[in-house]
Amino acid sequence: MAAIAAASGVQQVERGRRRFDAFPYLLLLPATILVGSFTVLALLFTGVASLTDWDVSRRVTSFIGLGNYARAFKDAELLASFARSSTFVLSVTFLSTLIGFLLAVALNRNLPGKGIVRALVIVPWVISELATGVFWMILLQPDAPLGLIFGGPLRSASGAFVSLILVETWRSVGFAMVMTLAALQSVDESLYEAAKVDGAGAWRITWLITLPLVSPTLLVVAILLMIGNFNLVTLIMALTAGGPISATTTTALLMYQKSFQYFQIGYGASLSILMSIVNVIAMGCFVLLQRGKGAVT
Amino acid sequence: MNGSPAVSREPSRWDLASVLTWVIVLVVFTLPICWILLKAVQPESLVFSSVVSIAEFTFANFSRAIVQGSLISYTISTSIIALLTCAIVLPLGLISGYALARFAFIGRATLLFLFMFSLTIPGLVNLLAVYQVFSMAKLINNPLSLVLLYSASSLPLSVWLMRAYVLSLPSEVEEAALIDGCSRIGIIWRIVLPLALPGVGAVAVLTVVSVFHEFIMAQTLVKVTGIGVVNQGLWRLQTEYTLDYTGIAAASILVSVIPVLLFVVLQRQFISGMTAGAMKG
Repeated sequence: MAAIAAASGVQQVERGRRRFDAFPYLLLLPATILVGSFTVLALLFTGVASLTDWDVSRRVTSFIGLGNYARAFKDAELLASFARSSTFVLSVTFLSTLIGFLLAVALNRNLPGKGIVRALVIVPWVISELATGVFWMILLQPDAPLGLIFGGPLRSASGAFVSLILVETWRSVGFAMVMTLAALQSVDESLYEAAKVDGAGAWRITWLITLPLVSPTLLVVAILLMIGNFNLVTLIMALTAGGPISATTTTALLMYQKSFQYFQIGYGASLSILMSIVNVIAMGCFVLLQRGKGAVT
Repeated sequence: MNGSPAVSREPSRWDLASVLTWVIVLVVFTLPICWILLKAVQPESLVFSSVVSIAEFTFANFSRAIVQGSLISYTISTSIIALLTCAIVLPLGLISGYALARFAFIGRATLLFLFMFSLTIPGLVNLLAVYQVFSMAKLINNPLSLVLLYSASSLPLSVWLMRAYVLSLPSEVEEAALIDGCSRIGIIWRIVLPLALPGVGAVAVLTVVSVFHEFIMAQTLVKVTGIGVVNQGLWRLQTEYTLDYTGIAAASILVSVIPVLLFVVLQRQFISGMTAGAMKG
C-alpha cells in the first residue's frame, strides 16, 4: 500500500510539473505586486524624477538629462558628506564586528550567566534608533557625568563625529555578537581540543582557529552593517541633527534634507539613485558571498 | 577575553576573564540605560546631579511625557498599525515562501531576485517617490499608507525567512495529503501552517518590533499629532521641549517598553529571526 501511494505521489508531482500550473503564481501574486510597486516602480519614479529640475520653488519642471548627476559630482557638500559616510560606516562596521566577535567568543566559553550577558548586549539593538539617539544625546550633554568627563563632546565637530561612531557601535555590537554566536555553535569542538593538545594557548586558538572558521559569517555581518549604516538617518537626527554645522551630515542625511526640507526633488532623487547604486553593489557582494557558502539556490 | 572557547563540558566558573567580561558589559551596555532610567524617575532639579535619593523619586516626568508627547494615542496607533501590517505580512509571507520552496516554475529565479533586490533598497531611498505618489493619491496623513509601506518593506525578509523555514520541513506529509484528496489550499492551511508556526512567530516578532522601531517614514508621511508611530511622540518632546531632559528621558523609556518586553518574552523567536535572515540566505 505504502509503495503504491508513494509511486502515485511521484506520478502526480511529475504530471503537475509537465502541465502549466498557475497555483504557485497565484500564491506569489499579491506579495509580488506589493513589493514590486514599492521597490521597482518607486525606483523607476525616482529615476525619472532624477532627470528633471523638479523643485518646489520652480513653476515649470523640465527634463535636464543628467544635469543633477553632473551637479552631484561637483557638489563639495555632497563629496564631503560621502567622505564622512565612508569613515563612519567603515569605523562602525570594523568596531562592531570586532567587539561582537570577541564577546561571542567570551560567551561561547562557559561564562557564568551567559544568557543574561547576551540579553544585556542585545538590548541596545532592541531599543529603537531614535530612543538610542535620545539616550546618548542626554548622556553626552556638557553637564551630564559623561559629558563632563569628555568636555561636552557633541559641541565640537570631531567630538560629535566620534560620539556618533561610538553610539552606533554601541547599538550594533549585539547584532554582530548574536550572528557570530550562531556561527560558533556550529563549529566542531574537537578542533579546539586538538589545538589544545598541540599546546596552543587560548589567545592563539581564538585568532588562528575560531576567527578563520567564523570569518564567512563575519563578512556577512560586516556587509549588513555597512548597508544599514550607510542608510542611517534617524539616530543622527536624534543625536546631533547633522551638526555642529555639518560635521555629522552623512550622505543619507543630506539626501533626506535635500528631498524633504529643501524640496529639491530632482536633485534629491539623483542622490537617492546614487545611494541605491552603492547599496546594490554592497548587496551584490553579500549574494556572492552567500553563493560561495552554497546557501543560495 | 583569554580563556579557551567552546569547551562546554567544563562547568562555568568565575575566573578573571569572566569577571572582566561581566564588568565591561555592565559598565558599557547597562550603566547608560540605568542612568537614563534614574533620570526618568528623578525631579528635574536633579537632572545632571549624581545624587540618588529614593525619597525624591517621582512619576511626574512620565505623566508629563505622556501628555506632551501624546504617547497613549501614539501607542494605540502604533499597535493597530503593527497588527494590520502582520495581517498582511504573515499570510502573504507564508504562501509566497511556500510557493518558492515547494514549486519549480518559470520565473522562480526572477522572483527570488526581486525579493532579494528589495532587501537591498532600504525604505529611505524610495521615500521620495513614495511621498510624491502618496500625496498625489491623497494618502498623506493616512495611517493606512504606513500599513502598506511597512508591509512592503517587511515582506522581502519575511518571504525569505518563510521559504527557508518551509525548505527545512519534510515534504512527504504534504504529498500524502494531496493523494488523500486534500485540496492545495487545504494543505497550506492544515499541514504547512501548523508545522511552520515557529517560523511565522519569528516573522511576527520581527514585523511588530520593526514597526515600533520605525520613525523616519512615519515622520515624513503622517503629520497629525497622535497618529503614527510612538517614536514620533518622543521626537515631538525632543524638538518642542528641548530642555526638559527628564521628560525626554521618561519618554525614551516609555517608547522602548513594548519592543524590550517582546524581546524578553520571545527571546528565542527574536534571535532566530535576527540570525536566520542572513544565515540561511
